[in-house]
Amino acid sequence: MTDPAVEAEFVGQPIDLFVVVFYFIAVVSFGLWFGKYTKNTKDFFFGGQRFSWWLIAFSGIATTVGSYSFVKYSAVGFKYGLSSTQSYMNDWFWMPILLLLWLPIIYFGKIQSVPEYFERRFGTTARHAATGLILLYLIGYVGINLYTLGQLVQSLTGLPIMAGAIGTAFIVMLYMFAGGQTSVIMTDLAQGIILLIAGLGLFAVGIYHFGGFGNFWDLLPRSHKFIFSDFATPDDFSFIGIYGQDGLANTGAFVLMNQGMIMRFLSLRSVKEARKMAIFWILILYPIAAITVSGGGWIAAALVANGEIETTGKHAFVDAASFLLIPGVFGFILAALTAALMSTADTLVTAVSSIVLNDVYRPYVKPNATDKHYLKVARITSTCTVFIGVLLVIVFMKQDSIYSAHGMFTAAVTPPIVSAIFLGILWKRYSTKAALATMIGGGILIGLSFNDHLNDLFLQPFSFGMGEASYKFTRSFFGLAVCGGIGIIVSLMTKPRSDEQLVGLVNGTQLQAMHSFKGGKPNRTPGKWAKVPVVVDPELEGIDTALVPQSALDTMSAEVSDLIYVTDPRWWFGGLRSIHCNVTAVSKGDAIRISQEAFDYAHFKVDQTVSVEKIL
Amino acid sequence: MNDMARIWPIIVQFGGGSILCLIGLWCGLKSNYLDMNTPEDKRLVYIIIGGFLFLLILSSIFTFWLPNLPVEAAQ
Repeated sequence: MTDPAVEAEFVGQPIDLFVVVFYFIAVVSFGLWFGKYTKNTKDFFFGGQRFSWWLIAFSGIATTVGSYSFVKYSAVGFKYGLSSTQSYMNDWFWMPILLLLWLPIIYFGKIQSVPEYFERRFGTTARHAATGLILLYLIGYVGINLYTLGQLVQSLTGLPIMAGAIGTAFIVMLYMFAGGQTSVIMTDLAQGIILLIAGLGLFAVGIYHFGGFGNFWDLLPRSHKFIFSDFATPDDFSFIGIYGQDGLANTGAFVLMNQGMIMRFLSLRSVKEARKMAIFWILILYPIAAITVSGGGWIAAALVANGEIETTGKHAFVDAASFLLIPGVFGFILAALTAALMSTADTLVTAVSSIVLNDVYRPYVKPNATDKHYLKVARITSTCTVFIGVLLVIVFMKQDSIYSAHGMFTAAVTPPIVSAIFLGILWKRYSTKAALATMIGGGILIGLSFNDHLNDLFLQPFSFGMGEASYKFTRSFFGLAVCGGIGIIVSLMTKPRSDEQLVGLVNGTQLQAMHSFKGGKPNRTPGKWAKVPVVVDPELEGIDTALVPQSALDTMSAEVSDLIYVTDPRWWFGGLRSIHCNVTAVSKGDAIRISQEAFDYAHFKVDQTVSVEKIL
Repeated sequence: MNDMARIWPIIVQFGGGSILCLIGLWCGLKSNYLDMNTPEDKRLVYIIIGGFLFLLILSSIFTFWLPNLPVEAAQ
């Protein structure tokens, strides 16, 4: 490998560099400041389960618009046009399964990770298999992310890859150590807004440059104007290949097995908020994000057609940005590029830390320790994960085909786990042996499909007449078909678990999950928000008890023993100052009464009014 | 003029998508988790269907209409 520093130099002006450095300092400060809201492991991994839908939606965008998205989708947009958005337009179809089945199972079941679901649904062996596979996948992904960050910093500043990787890893580690998920959510909120502004801003400036959308549209070749690529051409960008890989396997994985996203959903204050968040996120923010990451490529294609610049797909975004934008603003775009990557890396690190603590350390290394101890371990695990990620960068730098190796591993792991979860939540008959056969047998068969002598035999029937170049995409069809097939056949030949063992874990038992979440019959009567003063009751103990005035209970259609959510009424806090409580009795007077501990945890102020909502 | 290579993607995307949506809705209804007597749950079903139609319309616009506009007409 040649010395990267010799090959690259900073592509902007000094003021751009100043903007990038200022941005890094701001992100770290922002993350560190929110560290004060993290007092236990629930805060560290799930942000105290108190946030509003809009906050998580914007921070989720920063996470999903991540690894190389700007460069990758701009390159695809430059080459193929609007069809670069395909990957962002097929998530909606999974929403009913997410909102009406998977989310109630994990939220009401208080399931903290995918391996934990495997243990409850299929037993300990399945949990071990899932833990191993998911950890390998996630840690490799952290390394890939840091490597990509290093490459990006190198291409923008001329610094060596390792310097960029270590620098950004250190920044991520600092705010993660301080605040865990709360810091991740708040920094990702800021980063999400920045990258949306940057991407949309560049697209808008490009449209203005051409004198309006009509002129821009005319400059694009006709083949660039379709939202879908051709059904089965070209081999490496056909609709059907992308549909199989992204629309089915990857989106299925994103909805069902992405630990980072599960943690975001569990950070919301209620399932109702999760519904709002998912709808806004997928239906509104996703199409906007598609324009954000692809727009630079479309503008670059129009600039080339107009004879104004010469560029390639890989450099389309940066070249279009540097051509159209003034110094300083270009620095903002560079900051957005790193923001996209950092916000993915921090989510992955939290996900690894969560699985290591909840699926390895807590059950097998030191059960029944104090929450303070587990919080310490969570922080250490996060730090270690970042270090391992940096070490992996050294390994990856020596591998020419690391992206393809990572792609192969992802392709082999994703369909088995997605199929096992999908069948597990949907079908009571799906047995433990079937789940193991799906993961092990399916994984082996997919692994064999990478063999040069077997790939035609395995993948050609799923490739719709396309050639070998399509296998990377159509392997997903093969994987889902064999995993699903194995799962169904083995289920029909083996004994399923009893209905009692499946309560809250499979379709048909969502209401029972709600019941056990609350510890009583859920109150689903529609109610309204109540606004009341909050006071400390010295006689109350514990963080989760509250006495509520009858008038507020009437407004909420709530009763004693219901679960309520008490929050600062200012919406822009997004739930940061809030707490969940059980109504233990009706309070005298017109104020809600909570313990000193709950008051401090929620960061309420003396004599303040709060908004109260019935959850269940 | 549109050939089947452009139309099949819409059929597959929204055909497959409708199956996934129906599975999810069936799960919600069968378990009674989705209570069609509450306005909130009813609204959710409408939004799911509305989102599906929104994406279908958007995809159709960028398949059947805008790509086929004559260059002069778009200016």
